[in-house]
Amino acid sequence: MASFASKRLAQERAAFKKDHPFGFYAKYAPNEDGKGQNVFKWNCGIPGRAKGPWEGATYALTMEFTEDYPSKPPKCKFAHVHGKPLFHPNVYPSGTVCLSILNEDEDWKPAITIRQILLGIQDLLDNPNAASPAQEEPYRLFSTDKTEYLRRVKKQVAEVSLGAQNSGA
Amino acid sequence: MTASEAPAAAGDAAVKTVLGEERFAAVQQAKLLVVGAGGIGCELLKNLVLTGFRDIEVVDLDTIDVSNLNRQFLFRRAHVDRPKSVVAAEAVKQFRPDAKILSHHGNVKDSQFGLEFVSKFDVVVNALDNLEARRHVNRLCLAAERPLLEAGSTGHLGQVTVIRKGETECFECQAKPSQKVYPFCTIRSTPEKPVHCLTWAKNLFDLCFGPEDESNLLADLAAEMRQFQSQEAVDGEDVGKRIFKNLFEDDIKKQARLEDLWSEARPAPAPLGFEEALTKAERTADAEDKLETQKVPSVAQDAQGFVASVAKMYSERRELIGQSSFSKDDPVSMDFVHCAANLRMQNYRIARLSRWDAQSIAGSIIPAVASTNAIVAGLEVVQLLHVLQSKGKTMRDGRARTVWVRYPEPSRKKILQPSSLQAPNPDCFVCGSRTARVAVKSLVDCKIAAFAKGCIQGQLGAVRPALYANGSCIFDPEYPEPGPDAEEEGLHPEWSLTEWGLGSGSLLQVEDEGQGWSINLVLREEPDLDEQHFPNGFKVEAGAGAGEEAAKDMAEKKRKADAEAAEVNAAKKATLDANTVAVD
Ligand SMILES: [Zn+2]
Repeated sequence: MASFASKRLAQERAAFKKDHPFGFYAKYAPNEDGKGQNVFKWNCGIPGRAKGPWEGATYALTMEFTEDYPSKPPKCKFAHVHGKPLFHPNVYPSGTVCLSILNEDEDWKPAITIRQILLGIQDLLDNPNAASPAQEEPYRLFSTDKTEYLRRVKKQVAEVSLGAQNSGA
Repeated sequence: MTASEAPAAAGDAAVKTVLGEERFAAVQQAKLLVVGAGGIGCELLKNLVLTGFRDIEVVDLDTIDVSNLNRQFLFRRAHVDRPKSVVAAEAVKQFRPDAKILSHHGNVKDSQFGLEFVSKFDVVVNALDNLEARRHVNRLCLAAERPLLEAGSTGHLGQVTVIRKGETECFECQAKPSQKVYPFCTIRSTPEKPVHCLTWAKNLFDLCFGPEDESNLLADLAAEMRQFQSQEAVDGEDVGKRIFKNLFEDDIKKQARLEDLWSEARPAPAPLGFEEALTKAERTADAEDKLETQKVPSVAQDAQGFVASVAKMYSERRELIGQSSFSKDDPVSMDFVHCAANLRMQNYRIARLSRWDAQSIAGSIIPAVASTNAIVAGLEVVQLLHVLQSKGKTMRDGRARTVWVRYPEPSRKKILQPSSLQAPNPDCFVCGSRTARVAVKSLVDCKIAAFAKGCIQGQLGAVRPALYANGSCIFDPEYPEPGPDAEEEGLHPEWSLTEWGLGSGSLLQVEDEGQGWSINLVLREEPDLDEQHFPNGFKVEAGAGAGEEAAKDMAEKKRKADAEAAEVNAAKKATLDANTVAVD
């Protein structure tokens, strides 16, 4: 039966279909048994911003919602690249994104839309937050050796554009 | 009159004197559904039959556990493992042998307890302890348009209220505070409170000894842990020490190096080696009269306890490794979690906990208090009498109230706090939207795409309807035709309503992506539907205008929002003008 969360998600889906930023996608993940789509799990894609270091590929990400949405934010997780987490200081080894608007105790508000979350994560790609490191190597390079950091990001972009990221599921 | 009827009849006379003839007659005729036969349910069923109710059905999913016996007083030791609903019905029937009490051992969410079942009753009375089932019964009663008595209790707090479609707030009109979920980053990198460390430790236990679980907060450490655990020859103590070194020493060293993260206000965590931990044997000064479990152990005790609990898992439960999960009542897993959390607290300079405190936080234990349940069940009967008396007027004009049960403190001596029933929240996602009812000649023959087009577009006025049932999207207007694309998305426009698992009483959510409104839809199978009048095989029985009204609502909301925005703009402009004038 329809819950508060699933109604809001249905509206988010309709709103996103109607009007979404160029190059992004966000849709329900099919249920594992192939019967219908799971309203609480979305497969999304975030393109690297033009002229930024991540330009040139679209990054697959899943969003998982609970019955407590929108009181609680979704969990956003980048798909792995060649079995490794996306190379970014604020992405945990599991792929989970660490971002203040996705944190209930920080800047999450129930009014934040899925479109805004995706744009927020796109922005985070170009502008890592040095105050919340989540992955050791990218964090270390980002704070000590920017040239090497950017070289590694470029390598990652090339890999993803060649299909190295698993589909996002 | 037989002897066994005598006490009930004598009781009836007393109740009749209290309630009066008319109200007592209403009590005797009322057909009630009681959902739940646990803590509140036992009290409630007893109250109901002693008040004179004699036509009751009760649904409960559980069987009786030994731990229930201290407060669910209809149950005795001999009843353990029998269904609660059945035993409770038998027990209260002894109070009143002439009562008709039917028990159902099952989940109220099962389809057999759908709309048609609920519609048989005059009033539904909840005696449930979990939010999910309460949400479900709320929606059922809204759809069936039956009044619902809602009750809940936690510790010394309780609440009873009355819900009726269109007249009062429903159970979901206001967001309910739910169990706190701690943000991932806090748990992984920057714990500040004991509860953060306990959450971490619970996840660690499941990671080390439970089945593989992608959603475990520490899932990415799985490979490392497996590495320590995989060497068949090594003993548990060795595994424990390796995990210790990895988590409380090496990993903390790495964390401490992330300089941007730490400041004076938030100092870097301190690594702790096993040998070093063993030297920290001093205890904090706890009151003499405390039990050992209520005292905070020394760091050395935590370190030894951690390794010992891992060793125990290997020596005593080797066959359960890979399928265990944390339980506050299992001493070994509780030892592990208590010690691991305390060691992490030591790392992060958080004051460590006694076993007692750790257990109550880890299990989020709020004791069930028998007297709160009894008060709540009593209040439900009082409110039920008000509901039966409210025929012909709206619930909010009657005497029914929301009543809060609170622990008496010196500042407020009253235990009970009544307040008037609130009007429904027009923006409630559950009761605020419109509901249409549709009869379908054959659910097996009616294809979902044809239903969307013929019924929802054709008769309910949707433009691009998406259909949802049970948390799944089952029809997307982007995929109106069957084909590999639709299939890949899990969509099958050619499937019948039956194939989608829909039956009589099923609820569908319709989201019109074209116009932005949404309505609910209740299905009913009607094999005798007249084909001449309804050649498509369905008939909108109620709420044909639901779509139109929802659209009107949307337009009105938009108009209001636009008007408000215009006002704000005008005000801004006025201030701006005023400022400009001032500058000039
Ligand atoms: Zn409501």
